[in-house]
Amino acid sequence: MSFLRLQGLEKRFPNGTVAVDQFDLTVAEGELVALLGPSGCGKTTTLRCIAGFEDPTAGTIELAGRRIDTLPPNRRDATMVFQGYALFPHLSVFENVAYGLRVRRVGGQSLRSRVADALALVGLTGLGERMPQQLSGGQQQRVALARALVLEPKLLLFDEPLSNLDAKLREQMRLEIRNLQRRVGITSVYVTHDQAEAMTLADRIAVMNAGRVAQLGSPREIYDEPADRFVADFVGHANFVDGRVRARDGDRLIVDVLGAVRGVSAAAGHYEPGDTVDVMVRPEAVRVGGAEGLEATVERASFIGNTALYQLSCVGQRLLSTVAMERGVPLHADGAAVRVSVRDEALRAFARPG
Amino acid sequence: MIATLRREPAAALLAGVAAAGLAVLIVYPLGSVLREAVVGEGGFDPEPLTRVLTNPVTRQIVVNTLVMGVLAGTGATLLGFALALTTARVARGRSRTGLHYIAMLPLVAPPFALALSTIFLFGRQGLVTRQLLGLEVSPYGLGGLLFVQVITFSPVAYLIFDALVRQLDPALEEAALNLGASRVRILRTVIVPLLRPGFAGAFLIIFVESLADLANPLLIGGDFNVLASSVYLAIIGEYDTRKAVGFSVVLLMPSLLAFFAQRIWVGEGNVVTVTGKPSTGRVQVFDPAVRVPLLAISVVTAILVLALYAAVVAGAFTKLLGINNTLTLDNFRFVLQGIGTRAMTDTTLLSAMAAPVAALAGLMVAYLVVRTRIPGRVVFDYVLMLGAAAPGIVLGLGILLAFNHPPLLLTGTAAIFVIAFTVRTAPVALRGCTAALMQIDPSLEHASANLGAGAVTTFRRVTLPLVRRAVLSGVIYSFTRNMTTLSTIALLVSPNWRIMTAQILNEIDSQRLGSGAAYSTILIVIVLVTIVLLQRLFGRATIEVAA
Repeated sequence: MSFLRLQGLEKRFPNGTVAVDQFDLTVAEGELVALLGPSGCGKTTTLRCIAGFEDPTAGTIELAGRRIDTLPPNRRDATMVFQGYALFPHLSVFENVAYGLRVRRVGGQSLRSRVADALALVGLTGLGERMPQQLSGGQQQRVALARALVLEPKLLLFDEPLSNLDAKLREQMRLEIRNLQRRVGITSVYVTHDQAEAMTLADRIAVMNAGRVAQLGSPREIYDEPADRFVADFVGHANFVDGRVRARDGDRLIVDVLGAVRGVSAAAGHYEPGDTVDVMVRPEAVRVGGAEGLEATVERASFIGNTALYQLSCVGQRLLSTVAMERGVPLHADGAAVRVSVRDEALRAFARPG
Repeated sequence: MIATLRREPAAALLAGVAAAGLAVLIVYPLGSVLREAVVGEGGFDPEPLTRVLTNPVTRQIVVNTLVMGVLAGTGATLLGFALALTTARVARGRSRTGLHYIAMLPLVAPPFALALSTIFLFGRQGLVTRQLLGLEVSPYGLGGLLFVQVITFSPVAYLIFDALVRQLDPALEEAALNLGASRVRILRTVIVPLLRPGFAGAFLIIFVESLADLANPLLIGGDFNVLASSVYLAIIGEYDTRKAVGFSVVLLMPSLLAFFAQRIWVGEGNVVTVTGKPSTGRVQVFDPAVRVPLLAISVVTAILVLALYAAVVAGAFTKLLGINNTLTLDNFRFVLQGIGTRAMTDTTLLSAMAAPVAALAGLMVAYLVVRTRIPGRVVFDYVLMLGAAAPGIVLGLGILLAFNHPPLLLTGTAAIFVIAFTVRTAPVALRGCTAALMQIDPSLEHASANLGAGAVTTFRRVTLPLVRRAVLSGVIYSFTRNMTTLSTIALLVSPNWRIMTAQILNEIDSQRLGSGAAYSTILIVIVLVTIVLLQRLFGRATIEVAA
């Protein structure tokens, strides 16, 4: 079942910093897993360990039932799309894509047709004779993708491949990569710090923090049921308000929060009656402007376009709320008194550390 | 080391070859000089050193050397700065291009050329001083020596500042202007402080070059003796090896100190980085308070440089320039019917043999240092740099001492010249290749490995094509420098192989200034033709790599 398996991976640099720590991950065949995390969380180091550019200090890496962590980088059959593309500046687009095939002694008609197919796959037919620096950023990105795909590797690695593109193009390339990966059915590991990118592309996301996996799950699980405060905070936006535990009810907690006693979901942890907990509520779950609910004051209202962002003050706590907007929907003014409501299902409690 | 051998067998092999080469060709010769200085017949005996440092006459030579180095370093640095500022910020269009080439002209010619034409133009019978102005002045001594050295070495400073000034972000100057600073103030508070590493680097490099200069002190130094010429005279005139060794070690110390101080303080990036985007369009042109003095300095320098080169050629085609200005081909006839023809072919052949060897040696060490993880790899870099840090005459003396007895008896062979040329010029190829390799994003080589290529394929198909330009520059530099150097080979000459620079020295020593000028002209022509040919042959094919 598991096609790529990382077990107990650790990378400790000579200066003592531990970039990757007790890292376990399995990826199924054809699956795309994103490693998501802030800079310095070890996601790129993990990817470079898989590619063989870093030697892990402990742990094993298996690909298709074979250990690859002892192989040199050029024998791993796991091609990479580099962050800066790393296109060879002295070779044409055709020769860049042909590079790996030539190394494998593919030549003649077979070489030409495979390169042509790869270029067609990424929509660059006819640009083979160009030099890389004559292409736009998006086109260079596609060449890098074609160069990695043409070898039909067991595993495709992406190292923040879209970070050099502007926002619109990035969104477009996201979908293209997603469709391509699905069509070719190639197992992939995708490193990014951009959560929207991870959400769009990935079957599963491994959120990383300080060299470890903080949570591994589908985009929906990561967003709706974050395993800890770090994940809740890093993925999307989150309000944290104070709550007090009254009782435990199965895997739920009965908590005094936002002026009511509510049953909420809870992250793993130890909870006692009387404990103070952090209760998360996503801004879009904070509804503003109904007839019922808590009294709140709009401290600042911002119009974003498709949404409005309200900074609210509510029973002594500060809350952010995003509300869908469309033409004709009025914007509450700064200082306005409003009613705020939150559904119990939208809340999630986290134990306070210490 | 064992781990390296297993992981990177090719690199370990390369390291072994490099270590053996450096040990035999650099450490052993320079070690021979040091050994000779402190080991006498009865064991430890630093008499050669104490003699130089205690005798008042030789102590004066040491002081002279340092005074010359400091003054030439300061003068050439300031001149190079003024010229670079002019081409970058004042001159425009064609005058800018013209000044750029004139500023670099002294690089391609033998140092003799300038000393010789200085004697033609400003000597006791000089065309300008005596014939035009009727003055009775002598160029011989510190004044004339500094004049020649400042012009000779100013291109070094010019190139450093040219690269640095191009990198200056014009937005900084605009910001200062916007905050109310005058152009003079911007120069003082923005430009000069930002270029501080350039000043330190240029001064130290020129200081080292000035100390190593042999030709000019011999030709125009007069009674002003310096260490390099004293080493030469001790061997050639007195056959006193221990005396020569004493001078050599004393000369070696400030040279090495200044050279490695420059490398440590100024570092790689500050001097050689030329990757900055060329600043076009927005560049500020200074106001008259800055403009006029800069233009004046540049115009005077340009006229001087052109006049000096014209004087060499004129000197070659006249009986005796300044005294008897009759046109003649006698000088060339004398040179070419004498040993000149052999000297031309010998020198060209030896220089051409050494040039690719030097470039490849530089590339090999650069690759070891930048791209492998061999423990202690920086040592390779520093040892090879000794070839440039040590004054040529000291290096020549070391090679003479090291290879004049079995098992390595090379005296009088072509090999000894190829060794001397290679050791002397490989360091520049090393710097060029190091800079080129550091500019290649390691992800390119990673990408190649990731696509299945081994270390050798990656080097051949990715790395080498990308550093090709640097290797070619290394070949051209080495060839030029080999053709025009005197100090490195002055002690190695023998009747078997004739070297042009040594012949020029002979001619001038024998008061045959005309044939000296003819030799110099031939030498300049050979160098220029070769550069053009090499660039035609290989330059076209090299790929323009976008910065």
